[in-house]
Amino acid sequence: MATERFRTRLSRRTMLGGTAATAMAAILAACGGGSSATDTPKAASTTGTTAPSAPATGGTAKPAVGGTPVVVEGKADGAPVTGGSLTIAYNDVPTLDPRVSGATDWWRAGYALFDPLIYQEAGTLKLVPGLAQSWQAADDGKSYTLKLRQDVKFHDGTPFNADAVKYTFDSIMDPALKSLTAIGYLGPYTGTDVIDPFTVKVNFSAPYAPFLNNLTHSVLSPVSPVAGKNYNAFAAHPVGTGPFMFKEYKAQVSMTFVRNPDYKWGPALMRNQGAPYLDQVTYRFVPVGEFATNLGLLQNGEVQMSNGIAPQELANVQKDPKYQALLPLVPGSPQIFPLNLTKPPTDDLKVRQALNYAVDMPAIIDTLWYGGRKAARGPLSSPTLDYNPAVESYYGYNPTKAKALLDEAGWKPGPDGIRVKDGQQLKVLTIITTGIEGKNAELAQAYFKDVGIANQVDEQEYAQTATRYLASEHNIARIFFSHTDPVVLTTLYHSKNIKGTNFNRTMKPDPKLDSMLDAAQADLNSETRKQKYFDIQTYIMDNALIIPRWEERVFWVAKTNVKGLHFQALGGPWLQDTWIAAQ
Amino acid sequence: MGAFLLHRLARLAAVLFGVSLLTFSVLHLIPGDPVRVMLGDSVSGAASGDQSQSAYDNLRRQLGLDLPLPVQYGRYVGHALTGDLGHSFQTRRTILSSIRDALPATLELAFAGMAIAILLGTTLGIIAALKHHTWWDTGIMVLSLLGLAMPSFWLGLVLLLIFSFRLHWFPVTTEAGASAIVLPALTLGLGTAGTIARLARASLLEVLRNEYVLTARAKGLRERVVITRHALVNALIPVVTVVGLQFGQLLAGAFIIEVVFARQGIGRLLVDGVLSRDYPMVQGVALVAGVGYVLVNFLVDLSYAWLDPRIRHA
Repeated sequence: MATERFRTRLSRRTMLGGTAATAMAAILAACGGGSSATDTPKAASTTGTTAPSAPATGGTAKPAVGGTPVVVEGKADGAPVTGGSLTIAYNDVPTLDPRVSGATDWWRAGYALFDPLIYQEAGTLKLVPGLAQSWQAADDGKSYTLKLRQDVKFHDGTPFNADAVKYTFDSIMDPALKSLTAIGYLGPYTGTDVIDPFTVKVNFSAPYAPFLNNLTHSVLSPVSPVAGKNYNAFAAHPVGTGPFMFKEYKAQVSMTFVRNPDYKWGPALMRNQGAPYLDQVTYRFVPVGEFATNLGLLQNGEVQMSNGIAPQELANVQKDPKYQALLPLVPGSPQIFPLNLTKPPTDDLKVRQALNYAVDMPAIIDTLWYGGRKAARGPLSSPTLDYNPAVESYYGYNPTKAKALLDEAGWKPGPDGIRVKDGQQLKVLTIITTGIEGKNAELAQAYFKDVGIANQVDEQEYAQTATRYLASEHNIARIFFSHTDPVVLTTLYHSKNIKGTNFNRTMKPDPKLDSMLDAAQADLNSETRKQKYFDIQTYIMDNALIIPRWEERVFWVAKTNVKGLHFQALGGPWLQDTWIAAQ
Repeated sequence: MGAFLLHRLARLAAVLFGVSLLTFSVLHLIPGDPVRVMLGDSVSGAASGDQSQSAYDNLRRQLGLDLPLPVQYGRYVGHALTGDLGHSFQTRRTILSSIRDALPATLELAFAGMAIAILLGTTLGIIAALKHHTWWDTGIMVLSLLGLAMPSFWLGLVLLLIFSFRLHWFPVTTEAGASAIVLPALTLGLGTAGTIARLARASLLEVLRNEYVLTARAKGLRERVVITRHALVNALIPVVTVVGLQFGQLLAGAFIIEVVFARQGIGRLLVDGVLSRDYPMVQGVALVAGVGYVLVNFLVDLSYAWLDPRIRHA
């Protein structure tokens, strides 16, 4: 998304550098300032064991890598209280039109204003009726018929019906709208037929299995066909059917939503299907990565909830009874180092495997995140649909094996410890963004050196790294991609995404992998599809196309009296179940 | 006076043309593709890579980025001349409305910082000059050096940590009323205050050595009158010059402080704009900053004439 890329943008962290951070270490420790803030996750999913239909009464916990229990769902004890307002420290969102937005932060917040046609339960990834009561795929997979709810209206009074759905999808395809994400989610969309006022048939030029999953995403949520017509006005004042209504947006300062008193069409996965408890929700914008500011705002009582604080504060917050730290996991591709198959020496499978064996990634991740992240083992995060646990048997830290593989590949230890072949030194270039990403690369660099690989690490701002990846200058790149559906593998490994989007940073077309991905994307049978994606995951690991790093989480911190917090599959809070208890 | 103004206006136009050409060139010289940044890492063309590619091509075309650079620049200047600075790539809002919303906050910060700098700087400078070669003098000079040496982003953090996070005397962000300006303005003003104090001191010391001051004293005027009516007015001319020049510095400082204090302002627009390669935004903010800078220097020139009648005649 468009915003997340800036996790590494100019901030006090980058300007501070190490000097001031060291000088201020004592104060920082005492006051909870962040000196090494980072990439917050793009999206997340709860892995809580509590089904949303059976309300949670106690937090659900999972052990983290570092031994600290990581909580993914808040408590919902006591009777819900109606009224009050919740203020959340949050990243600024560029545009408020879900059809347009490419910002994960807006996708998560957008669910408050927009109901998706289909909801998705975090953890199980089960589909739950939303504005669509039922759905049916055609046998050829080229169309889907959706039956719509008949008791819904938009915030501006416009009735919700088949025309609204058709309008939403058609407008997403309009080049003038300049859609960033939604247009991709519609895939090979050709049009929508209005069968009757509350039935639509959505048509595609090719079988399109991910469609239902994509419908759960807020970017495809129906928008008011009346308000939606004026694209610029709508981006400043969005109108949906959701539990909250848009009130105001102050650029760089805040945005505010208020309760939709008419709301009575909440999905089954909410405890509260009627109007929300909170009168008002305000997102207070903080520049990306300013985690010290976030914590200060919480401590000063200026906000009751924050999206992200510095990783080293996790343990402190967990110990403090005033706060709850909630870290839902993000499905999709974990944070990975894609390896460039077109540039020596990573064009050699043995070298790529050696790189995987050489580095103790779980140890690095623990150091970087203070136990707040789980090491990834394959091309999909564990909460993603069709995740193959077999990837966990691959690689792992084994320097002896790494050295043996490099020996086999003809790279012999040179005089200064760096391996050589035909007079060439074994060198790899990492191009990466600054912040925690860069630190990750630096820590890996030391491990590579131990097995005789010289690793240059270039840390740059996002826009520059993107340009250099496209020019194929890297051996080691970075990427992370949130999505609940394994179709994300098409985005990251299909040859059609090497040029243009350049989300495939392995750079080399692989016809076999392409055909595997195409077959899986077109398969409507969930069992055979699953097997196809299982095979794709092991294929990627067999060929060592990547070095997996960590599974992303969204880091939420809230005052303990913020009750009933549970999360979307992509990691934002469901606010219609949230209330503020008396302290 | 009319010719003077006309001359100034012509100069303003030249400066703005230079600013626009320079920002345009620099923006296109640094590597980075705005559309790639807009799509980011997670444009979930996840659904279909083909579609992502067409989204990419569509965006380039819609934003006019597929045109040759001179055509893009020509278009930009053409629109700018009619007062249309275009739309932000990122927010889709008009640049003018974005700047209109953010500018008051930046001006507020710049003026508050300048006020602190002038008040603190001249006062301390005068004290140091009058108490020349005493501990007062030494103390103030050391302080001013400290003020100069501390980078504003560092100072801002320290002030935040102590007075907001620790003592809770001031709010962390700007939404909380007038008290929110205190820490950012102090951060911004202290460095410039140091410069002004040193300059005011040196300038006053020099003026005090002049013969007309000796004459004034010989006439039996009270020391206070000698200082305020005769010495200070002349000593302040170089200070005013520096204040004008420092305004640019202050604006640059304000940009950093807006990020540190999570304040609204055109500095954050610019920083975000540069990082996301939001060309219209960067060009717009640069133009506005250019106008502001030229305007302030114009006011400084006018104030010379007011402070020193000889300049008016020249």
